[in-house]
Amino acid sequence: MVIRATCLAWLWLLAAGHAFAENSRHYTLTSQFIALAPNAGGQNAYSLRLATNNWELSGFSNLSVAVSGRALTGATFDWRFPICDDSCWWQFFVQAGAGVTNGGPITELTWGSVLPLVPLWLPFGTPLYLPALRLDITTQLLAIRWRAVTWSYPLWAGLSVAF
Amino acid sequence: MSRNLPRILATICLMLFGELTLAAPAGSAILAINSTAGVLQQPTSHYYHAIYGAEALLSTTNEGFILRASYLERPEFKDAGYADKDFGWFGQIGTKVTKATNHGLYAFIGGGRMGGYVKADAGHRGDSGETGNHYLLPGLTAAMSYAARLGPVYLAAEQQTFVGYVDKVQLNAMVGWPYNFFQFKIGFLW
Repeated sequence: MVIRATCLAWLWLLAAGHAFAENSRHYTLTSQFIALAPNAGGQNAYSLRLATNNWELSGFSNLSVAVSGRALTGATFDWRFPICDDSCWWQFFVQAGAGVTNGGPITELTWGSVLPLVPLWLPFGTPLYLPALRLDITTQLLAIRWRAVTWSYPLWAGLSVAF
Repeated sequence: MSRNLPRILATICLMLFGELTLAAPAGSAILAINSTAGVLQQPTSHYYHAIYGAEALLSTTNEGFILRASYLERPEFKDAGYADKDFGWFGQIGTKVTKATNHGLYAFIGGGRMGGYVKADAGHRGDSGETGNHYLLPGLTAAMSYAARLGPVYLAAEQQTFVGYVDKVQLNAMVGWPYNFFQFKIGFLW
């Protein structure tokens, strides 16, 4: 009975996975709140991101970078180039984007990954409505008062939910 | 876990690149040898230092799977009795992420080491007699490259980040060691 139920469950998941893969045009909402930095304590950097397989819109604030005494805050639009999109259980992608901040214009380059936290979904596409771990290596290039500043997030982590 | 690691890595590679590599004609490949020049930004400094280097790149003809080995260094800088230098070497796998032929965007990821030293000459050594400091840091590296082919000539502009290994204590302290490289590349491909 248990074996039969397990087989049926796997068949159902396989079908659901394929159905998801064929309709992999979902949105993903991400919140990032943990970032490493060369100094102890990391960075107090936060972002909220809305993405599809082709683009991502984000707002961010980095309390560790001050512009005229205020936290660096901005918004960017990124073009996403998926290596493995949301039809994969583990997403990989690179992004290139541009935007504005309270310090000036910004461009950013990101190597990102979204890893499901639910192992049951291992062989299938990105699960909907379930939290996933988002890990980024991001480099931002800022033009602040005619100076080109490169700012790195060696690891920027958060949670994603696809819907 | 360690016994299964090659199998897990092979599965991940197959998932990521299998479809593309299998689509390439058997035995076909592209080899490129490039020289590189650009700037480096160290983890604890916002200065940009000049760097140069070289790389070898082996790819399937459809560029779905690319292997790359590269080396770069910041030339030794001497001043006031001290000399310092940084260098690094990396191995990466990559793929093309855009569809146009002869040019496009490429993504790479892999590992490597960054090293360097600060040396003091005889007149600038402390009471301990220390001649300087050396470091050699392993880590993860990721790069995004825009490259174009003009016949046998390979041209590219690239941003690469190297994230140095942190131990458990440093990780608990939220410390990371990012190096940034901005490079132009020119070479030949076969």
